[in-house]
Amino acid sequence: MTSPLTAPITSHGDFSINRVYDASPADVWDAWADNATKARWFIGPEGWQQVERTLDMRVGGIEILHGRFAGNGLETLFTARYHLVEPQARLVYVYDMHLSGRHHSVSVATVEFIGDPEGTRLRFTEQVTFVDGTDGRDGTLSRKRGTSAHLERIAGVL
Amino acid sequence: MLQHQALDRVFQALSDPSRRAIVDRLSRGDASVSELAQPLAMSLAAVVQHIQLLEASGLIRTRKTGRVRHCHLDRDVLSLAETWLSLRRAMWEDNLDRLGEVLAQQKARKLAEARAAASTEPTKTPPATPRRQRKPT
Repeated sequence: MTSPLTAPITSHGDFSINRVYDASPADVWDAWADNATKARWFIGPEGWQQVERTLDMRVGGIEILHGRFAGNGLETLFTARYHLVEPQARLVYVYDMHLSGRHHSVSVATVEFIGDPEGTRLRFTEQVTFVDGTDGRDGTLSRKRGTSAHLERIAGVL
Repeated sequence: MLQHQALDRVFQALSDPSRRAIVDRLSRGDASVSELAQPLAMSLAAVVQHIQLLEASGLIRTRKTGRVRHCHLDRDVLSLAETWLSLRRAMWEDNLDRLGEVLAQQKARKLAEARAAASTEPTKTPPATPRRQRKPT
């Protein structure tokens, strides 16, 4: 049996972000649907470099964003599958995040494009399950091991 | 849930390998400043500075007994579940801000093109190729 301090655990969370853009819903939608435009804003933090990017925004279609941090070599792999595609209205996709080959999280992401007098209101909601459980049972850092590796990985995505 | 500002300080504190080494050491139990300094190849003054930054972030607490300063890791601050969630949210906020910049740039470019077309050929319909020379604004 695994020690309770290092037993795999899952944690759950959700959040919503609202933005109002001075652009038509058609333009905002295109910025999500067009791979070249999306590549200008859907990227990693500083030091992150793209390895591969594909986008097939149809129901059942797959999106991949693979990258690497120059400094520590940490690898990020985003793999999404589109479940609901309603142009200029709604988008629901499920995505996995892998960090250096390790399964980190599974998420349901919902994007709503809402017409607004000032342009377009965008609402992004994510429901996420973190499956990368080397955390302590209470969700805090493991006392015995894992701390260092976790800190390195957090630092990697800063 | 950690406030964003507090989280920024935690991330800043963890952005340095020496400070991560200190936190890693404290995750195995409390230690004095000199104990923390021992494995690190740097002056005691430099270690004290790192410890001050970690303390300001809320990650560690220190207390002085006589001449010895003891350091303690505050595990509540370093809840990984919260850290990952906050990090994910911050990632999306950055991306959605960047999307706003891209949309603003697109709008500015369209406006400039329309203006250039109107000023060079005021009576004609817009040209089929929008790539015409335009004056800097």
